Amino acid sequence: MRERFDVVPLAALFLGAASFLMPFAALKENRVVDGLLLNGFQLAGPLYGTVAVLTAFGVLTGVFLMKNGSRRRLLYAAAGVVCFWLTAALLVRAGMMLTGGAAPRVSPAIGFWGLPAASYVLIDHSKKGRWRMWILLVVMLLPAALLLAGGRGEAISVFREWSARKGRFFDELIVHIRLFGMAVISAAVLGIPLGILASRDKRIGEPVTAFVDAVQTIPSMALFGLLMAPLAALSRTFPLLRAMGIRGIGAAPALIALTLYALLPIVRNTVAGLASVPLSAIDAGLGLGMSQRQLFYRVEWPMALPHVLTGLRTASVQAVGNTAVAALIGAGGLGIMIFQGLGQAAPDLILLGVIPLILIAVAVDRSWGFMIRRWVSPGLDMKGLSA
Amino acid sequence: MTLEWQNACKTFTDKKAVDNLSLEVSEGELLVLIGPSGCGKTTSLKMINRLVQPDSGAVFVNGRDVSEVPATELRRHIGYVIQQVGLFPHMSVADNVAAVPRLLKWEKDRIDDRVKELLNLVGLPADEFADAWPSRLSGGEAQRVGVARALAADPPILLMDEPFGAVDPLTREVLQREFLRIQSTLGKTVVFVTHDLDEAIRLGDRIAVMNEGRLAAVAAPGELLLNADPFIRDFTGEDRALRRLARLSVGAAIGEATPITAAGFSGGGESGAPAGSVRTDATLKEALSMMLEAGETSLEAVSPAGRRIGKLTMEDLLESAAGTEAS
Repeated sequence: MRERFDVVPLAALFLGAASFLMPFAALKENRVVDGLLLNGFQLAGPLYGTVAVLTAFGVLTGVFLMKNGSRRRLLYAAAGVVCFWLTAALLVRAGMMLTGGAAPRVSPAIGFWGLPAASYVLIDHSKKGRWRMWILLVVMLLPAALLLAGGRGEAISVFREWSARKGRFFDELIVHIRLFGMAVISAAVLGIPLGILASRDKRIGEPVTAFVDAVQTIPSMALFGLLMAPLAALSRTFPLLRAMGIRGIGAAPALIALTLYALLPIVRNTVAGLASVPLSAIDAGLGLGMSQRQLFYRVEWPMALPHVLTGLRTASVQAVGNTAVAALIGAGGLGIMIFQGLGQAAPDLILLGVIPLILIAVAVDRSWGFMIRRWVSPGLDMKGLSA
Repeated sequence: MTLEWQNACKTFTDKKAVDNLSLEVSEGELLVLIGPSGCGKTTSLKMINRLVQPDSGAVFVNGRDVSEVPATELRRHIGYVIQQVGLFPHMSVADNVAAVPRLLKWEKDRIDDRVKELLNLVGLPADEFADAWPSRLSGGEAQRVGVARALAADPPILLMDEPFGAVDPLTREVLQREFLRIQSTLGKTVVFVTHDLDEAIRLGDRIAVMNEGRLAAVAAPGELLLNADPFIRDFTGEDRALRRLARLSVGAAIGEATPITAAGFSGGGESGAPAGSVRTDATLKEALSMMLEAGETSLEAVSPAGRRIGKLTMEDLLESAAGTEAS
């Protein structure tokens, strides 16, 4: 049987080609000046450049000739890993081409993102099993890390920004993780019981869903602003609250706003999950002699769980990003880097905030995926919910 | 265990669902509740396990008013099978069957043994099905699991609400036959709701016909088909005589008491008998059909072993259809 044409290797080829044809890195003498833009081909030199192009086409041809199966998926994984190594190698190469200056650096340019994107697409498409994915990650990261170690990666702009503020960076990273983590936990502690209540009683359900919907329509900046005034007033009136660190700016309003945002997916999905339990299962449960409580714990809750966990997953990933905005009202977090970078027109500094942000979001998303597979009964249909 | 409705009434908003129902079910009897949709048969059924509370009147199980028994306690000792099966999709087949024994806090070994026994009883080999997920089962298999789950704690009473209504006709017949086999060994007191008259005639010891919340008639299947009441006549249809013949064996019509075998149910009357003859374990409906096909007014009646027993004539059929023969 003729298989469907697989576009992924072709897409990966285009992405990878972008790194070679468009400016990959800018060689700069310091943070501010415009640098010399070089594409991947120029960085690799004619010999290695040609080898890279030939290899890429070789792999592409190989993929077309191979049947869909574990060997082809292995080729995808290998190609993805090589793309990642190539990214690191090109960066090191760029570092070696720096001529001098006060703080010479290699800044990623537009073409830089092609190879990592190709790598992600290929590895994602290789659909490895769980533990193989970990092996793959080690194989991918270890040589790249070794390549950049020993001072060879020092010239990379994001690294330069990082080494200039190591202590601050880790502080803000921890603040960020703590802030979104606490927000998600409070939203879960509030939202799940609220969702359960809302699905039991229409009189509670309607105002609750109206409220969480309304919160979602307020832009995050506005919500932070709205919370500042009342919290500041409370803090002035009650010294005890002030002693607890509750002020108009800082962590308190940020935590409240982030919690409110995280409520919507959690409440909504809890309600949807409980509503998804078919009446026949409830009728059967009651008919077999379950009490309301037994019915809930043995039938309704386990069947709602896929929805509830998916809600927590959405809420968590959203909260990672929303927390960045919280820096604007003095709550700290990775947003500090981003907004400082914006203020100073320093894209490298912005990246120092954004890259860990993306990594955290991906890690959080994957962790929930793992937990959903562990906790949800395999008898349940996860169609329509991402697993 | 006996069951009894005593002047039970139930009104939903403005509609009288059950109107003054009084009916008794004796120990080991299979009572079928039948009637057009909305006639109150399911509501009456649900009064027994207190899923519906009668507005007035009472329901008694073994002489005890069910409203005095805690609902959960009562239901754990009454098997319950519904049309949509209502298996719990997040539990394996074995866990579904084990639901009630777990509620009753049986020991693990006892539950495991019971689950195996029941799955084998309903024709699903435990080795193959115990760990399966309900979503992988066919409609017929799921309904078998539903029956096994209802029987798990060996309840003396079984309530079945159109249990075979959602499966295809072929599977339905197989399930009906198997259910009769199981019932003949277990001898539960069963209340069976259906809207399928053939099913009612096939399974019921007695059939209670309901209409607009009221009990229109209650009788053994053979008698019901002779009932002269206009509603009942209309309900049983113009082919009621054929339905009646379908209940009687050739053997019975010629004075040789022969039960209708399993094969007779699935229309296997022609099996092995030579042309112009009919087996004594075939139904009279099948015999009539054979006469019509052959253009004869009589057939040789032979035993399942092939021995000639006697002659079945059109007169025998007319007599049986008229009901002079005891059913």
